[in-house]
Amino acid sequence: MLWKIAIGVVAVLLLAAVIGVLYVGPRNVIGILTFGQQAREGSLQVGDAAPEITVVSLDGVTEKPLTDWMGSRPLVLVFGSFT
Amino acid sequence: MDEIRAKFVDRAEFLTVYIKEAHPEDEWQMTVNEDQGVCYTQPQTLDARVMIANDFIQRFDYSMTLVVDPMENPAEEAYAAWPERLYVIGVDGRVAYKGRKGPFGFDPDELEGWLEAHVPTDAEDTSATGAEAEQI
Repeated sequence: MLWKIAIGVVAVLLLAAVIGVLYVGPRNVIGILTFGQQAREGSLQVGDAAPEITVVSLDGVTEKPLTDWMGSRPLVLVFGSFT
Repeated sequence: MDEIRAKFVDRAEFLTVYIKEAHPEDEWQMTVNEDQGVCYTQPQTLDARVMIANDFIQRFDYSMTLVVDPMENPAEEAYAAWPERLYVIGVDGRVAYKGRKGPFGFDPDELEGWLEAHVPTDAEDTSATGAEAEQI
């Protein structure tokens, strides 16, 4: 009797897993498992000195430190990409 | 973000840092990007990243100043910015606001609320929060 219950529980869990994968999308499940860890909390905290980073202008050549935009007014930084 | 920038453009600097792709077609392609024709492989050169950044600007007529993270991804690394994130750096050069990690924590509304509380408009600048804004 007990083994029948165990099989039933496993079957329900497997079915739930399959439904979950189909709902999220197999490609997204693979993506989350493969690349999801790239999204991280990071160690930078409010109150920490802003990291001094050199970025590149849209000409692909000119380098500028982020500090060029800092100091006179609060700086809103928006990080992202097209995709 | 355009609305927020328009609201606070007289009180704060706004800068977009273009980082490595979140969903390139050779890594984690998204159906929504396929539907919209946003299909790029992860750039292997700075020129390629700059080209996609320029495509992004053209596609959305993006008016905010935009700079590009070098291929070693120093900005993304330092700010834990992938796939997208918001920060405010105070005039003292310190992190004043740290948004939660994207995509689900990317919250312009939260940023707007923070700016309203800490970077008042000119009309509000004589209020008590004005003094606070000077310290940001």
